[in-house]
Parts: sequence; structure tokens; C-alpha cells
Amino acid sequence: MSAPARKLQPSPRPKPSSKPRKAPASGKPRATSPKPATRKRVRRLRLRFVVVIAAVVVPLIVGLVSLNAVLAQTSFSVDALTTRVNTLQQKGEELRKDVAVLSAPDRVYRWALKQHMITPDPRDVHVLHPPAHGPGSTP
Amino acid sequence: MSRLAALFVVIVFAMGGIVLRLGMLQVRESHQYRNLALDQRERTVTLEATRGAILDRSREDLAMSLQARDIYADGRFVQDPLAVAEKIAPILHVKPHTLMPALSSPSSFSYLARGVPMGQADRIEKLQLPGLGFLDSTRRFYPAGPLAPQVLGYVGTDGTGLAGLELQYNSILSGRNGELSQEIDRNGQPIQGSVTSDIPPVPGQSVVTTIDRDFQYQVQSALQRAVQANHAKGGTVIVLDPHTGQILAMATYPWFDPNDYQASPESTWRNTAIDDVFEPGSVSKVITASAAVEEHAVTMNERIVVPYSLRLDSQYTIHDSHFHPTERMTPGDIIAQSSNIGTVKLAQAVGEDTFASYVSRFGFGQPSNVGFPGEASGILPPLYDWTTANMATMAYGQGIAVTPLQMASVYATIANDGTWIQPQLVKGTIDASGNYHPAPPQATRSVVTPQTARTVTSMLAYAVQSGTGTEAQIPGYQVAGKTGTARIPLPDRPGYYQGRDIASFIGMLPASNPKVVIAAILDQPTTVYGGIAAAPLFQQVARYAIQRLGIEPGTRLPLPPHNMPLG
Repeated sequence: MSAPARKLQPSPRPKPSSKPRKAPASGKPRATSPKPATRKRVRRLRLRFVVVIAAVVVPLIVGLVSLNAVLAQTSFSVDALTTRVNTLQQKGEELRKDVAVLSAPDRVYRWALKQHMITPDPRDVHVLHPPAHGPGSTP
Repeated sequence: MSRLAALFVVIVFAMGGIVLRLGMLQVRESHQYRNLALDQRERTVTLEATRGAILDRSREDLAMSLQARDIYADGRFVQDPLAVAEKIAPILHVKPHTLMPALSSPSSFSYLARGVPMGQADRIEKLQLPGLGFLDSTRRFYPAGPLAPQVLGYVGTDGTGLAGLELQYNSILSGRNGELSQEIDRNGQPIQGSVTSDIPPVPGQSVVTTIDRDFQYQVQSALQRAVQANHAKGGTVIVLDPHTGQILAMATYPWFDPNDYQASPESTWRNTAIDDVFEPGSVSKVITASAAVEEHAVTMNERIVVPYSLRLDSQYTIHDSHFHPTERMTPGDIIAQSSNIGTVKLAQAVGEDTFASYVSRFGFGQPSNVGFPGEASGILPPLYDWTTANMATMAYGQGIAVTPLQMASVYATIANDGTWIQPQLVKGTIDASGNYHPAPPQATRSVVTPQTARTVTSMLAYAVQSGTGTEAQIPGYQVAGKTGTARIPLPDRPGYYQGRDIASFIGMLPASNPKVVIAAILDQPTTVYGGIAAAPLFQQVARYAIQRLGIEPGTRLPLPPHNMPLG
């Protein structure tokens, strides 16, 4: 469990003086080194910040990447399925065409001739029309 | 200070200018630039709707659309046109030199072949020849070849109907094209999942005709044999169901293969059964007889004096086709013997105005509205132009012109108890979901009473039994019908060709309750007469109809009073 956040103690400000200060001889500002306890706190705070950010951002990035990957994957699947549907449709059409060609009267006639079948003269064909429910027939 | 102010003003103006320009670009012209940007990265392709099929009455395919590919050449990338032509010509079944213009063209797009079957296109694609491109398309295919080609019509290279039912029902058959917009990468390849707009195509509806495919084939075979046997120029056969008006078969010879219609002469593309007119001759005497019976202008027992010839308006003399001494004929004899003079006497008994109204009510001079492009109305002179001679010739079918379908409809009216019913070629449509939508009911009108229709049918039955139509007899069945031998008018002046006739026979069976009406017409047979050339064709088709439709003989109608001995 993390410790509750505490307010940082502000570092004591230098009191304003009426006289201007002399600049240091080197011309560089004098660095004030923080106390070790403060440094530790800052480091812990940074760590928490990094952890919180990581906890928020990393899942977001991972989620986003995963979502994109899934979308891409789905899109490839859709493409593959569409191609398959088209192929099957094409195959279905071809089969329908084959059926239509094979059952065309002219082809059937020519095929029958090849099988040595003979077209009867219509005058030799007698169509019988037996009564549907005539005497002796079973209903 | 003043320089600073001036600089400030300059900067403010410059910034203002930039803001203004930005506003123009982003607001006022944003649409135009957005479109330019879209054009660069988006490609829209038309998704062709599949054209609906044309089916026969049993829903067998008569015309269908198949997936195909158009092949084009980008002349800038074709390195050796001759080599490419020699490689692909055998696959396309063409001569290599026919491909050379497209392959040698500097253009980036020239069609090499359109509507190429998928198998052939795949074989060419596998060759991976540089400069060849492929586009998805469809091709129209007629699986039974030259079966009812003039009825079905044909389509152009872009898949639009150009004739026949393909043209008449083009808007229903063609459906609605879709559109697919997709972003593309810099190589022009579509980016996965970048579809911005996808409007799926709506397939065309299928049209269900009244044609019976197998019967149509038998009719065409019989017609072809009859034309060849009689050395005729051509012929037409129509088979109608008189009670529904449905056309079961409609054949015109010579015909063509709609899969390659351009290989046949243009004259074969016309559906003469609907689009062309002819002077019907004696087959139209049935109208005169119907008018006379309906109006009680004569009785069936009446003996009418019929000389061989008759002088009209002191100018014209008309005569019967064969010499005979003056005879006394009943109306039944007049129709059975196909006497022109007797028929004129019947028309005169009816009167000019009344006869004209019957001609019109039977459907002459007006299209039947069967739903076919280019249907002819026929030629019927206006009543005010009629003279005694006009009416006399019209009584026996000369001086007027009708389509074979109009003439068949007259017989269908008699067969349908005197009620004219609009002929029908399309039963309904089937939408993309497979739902059937029947065609709207056809128009009907009463022309003569059922009693008159029955009397006229008995006269026609007598004509087949003992008159000019004996060649149409079928043992066991009572056939009713009438022969016709009509002269062909000169196209540019009054008068007729010598020795050129149209032979016809139109009839029905069985006479007591007709199930089918058949019109058999031969153009200029050497055998000349309808009773010799066309009646046997009728008989052949009628025999097929008996087998195909299971027509029973029925009872026999009593024949009308007559003088002639029974044949």
C-alpha cells in the first residue's frame, strides 16, 4: 500500500534585502543540494508517477495495437471469405450453366441420336388417355 | 518607438493575411481540396449488378449471365505485340492479327476482348504478359443456342438489351450497379479495411416467360423441316393457350444463335410473328363468318348463290381461287371451300359499318400489347376510305395487313368462347430474394357470344373434315381450322407479286374444347397453297402439342349444315 501523499515543505525563501547582492566570482548560480530525505521522497514520487502512467498508458497502447491487429485480422478474414463466396458463386454459376447446356433440347436430341435412338414420326405416336377413375381402377 | 509600431502593424497585417488565406483554404475551398485529396488516395470501382435470367415456363434457363473478364492492353508496356498476340490468340479462339491493333496501340487502354469466359481469362492471366490488364465483367449466355432467339433477343457488349425480351425488360433484368470506394496505397493497391463506401449492387430480376422450352424446340424442328420441304423463304409458328392467352411457342425461321448474333444476317434477328405484317388472306374469313353468325345476317341453313366471279363498283372483278359453276352454298360450305365470293356475300349481308366494327374488335389495326419491342399495329384502312371493293377484299383477307400474332389471337378468341384475351409472353418476374411476382392480369373483351364461337368452330371443323384443310386432320381428334393462301403486295405501288404467296393454316384442337391454337405460316413456298404447305406443318405441331400438353380428344362438335359430301 502506498503512503498518503504529503505536502512538500516549501524551502525557506531568502529574505529580501535592500542591498544588492554581489554576484559570485565564478558567475555561476550557487546550487543548493536538497536534503537526502527530500530526494528520496522525490524519487518515490517519480516512481509512483511512472507506475501510474505505465498502468494507464501501456494497457491503452496494448489495447489499441490489439484492436488494430484484430481489425486487420478480421479484414483479412472478410477478404478471404469474400473471395471464397465469389469463388463458390462462380462455381455455382458454372454448374448452373452446365445443367442448362446439358439439358438443352438440342443437345439431348443429338445425344439420343448418338445412342442410336430414333425419333418417332408423330403420326406413329398414339397418346392414350385412360380414365383416371374408370371402372375397375383403384382410386 | 514609431518603428516598433510600424513593425507591429506589418506583422499584424501579415498574420491577418495568413489567417484570411487559411480561412479560405479551410472553410471556403475546403470541399474542393478534400475531394482532391480523396481522389489521390481513394479509388471507386463500380460493382456490376448481375443481369437477371430469362426463364421458360418451367423456370429452365433460356438466357443467363455468367462471370467473365474484359482483357485490355496497355500499349506502353507491351514489349513484343506479335509475340503476345500469338500467345493469347489460340486461347481466345481468334486470329493473331485481329489483336495487333490493340496491342500495338500507344494508348494506355485498348480492349483486346470483352466478356471472356473465366477459364480462358485465367489461362491468359497465368502467362503474366506485361501490358495486359483484366477487368471483372459478365457475359450473356443462351444455353440452348438458337432456341426462340427472336423472342429472347440479344445484348450488346456492355450487357444492355438490344432486341426482344432482353430489350423490353432491360430495366428489370439489369438491376442496379453498386459502388465500392476504398483507400489505396502509393502502388495503387487497396489498403485492408479502408473501405469508405460500399453500396452493394442490386441483382436484376429474372423474367419468367410463357414459352415451353422443349415444346419450342419441337416446334422449331417442325418449322425448319416444313420450310425446307416446301422450299419456302421462311416461316412462322405460334402456339397459344386460348384460355390464358399464353404463348407456349413462337418460332420464326430462319433464326440465329443469340450467343453470336452478329454472325447471322440482320434479317434473321426480327421476330416476324410480332413485328412484321402480312395480308392474311383466307384465314381471316373467320371474322366475316363470326360477324355474319353473330349479327344473324344469315342462317346456317341458308343456301347462298355463289358464282365463280363477282363484279364490284362496275370496275373490279373478284373471283374464287378455282373455277366452279354457280353453286348454292351454306355458310359452312363457304368457309370449308374457302370461297371468296361467298365470303363477300356474307360481309355484304352484315353491312360495312358492322363488319368494320368486328374487324376492329377482333384486334386488327391495333397492337395486342403483348409486351414486345417494335410490335406492329397492322394496317387497317380507316372506315371513311372504305369502298365496296375495299370491303369485299377485306372480307377475304386482302387489302389489310396483320401480324401473325394478331391473326392467331382471332382464332384464340373463337376458341375462348368469343372472348378476346391479350396474348402473354411473360408470366412474371422473380426478384433477387427468389420471390415470384406474377404479371398483371391481361385485358379481355367479349367479341362474340359463346354460341357464335361454337358455331364458327363447327364451321372450321367442317373445313378440316371436308374442305381445304384436310391435311390438318389428326386421327382420333376433331381439329378446327382454316387455310389461307394470300398474295404478297408490291411494296411501292398497288398490286401484287405474281407467283408469290403466303401459305397459312390456323387452327385449334380439340374442336369441342380447344386447348391450343396453332398458327402455321410459310413464306413463299413452292407448294403455294395453305392447305398443302401449311396444314401439314400445323398437323405436325398439333401432334407434338397433344404429346407435350397431354391433350385429350374430347367430344365431337356437330358439323354445320352443308351441301358438300363429308370427306
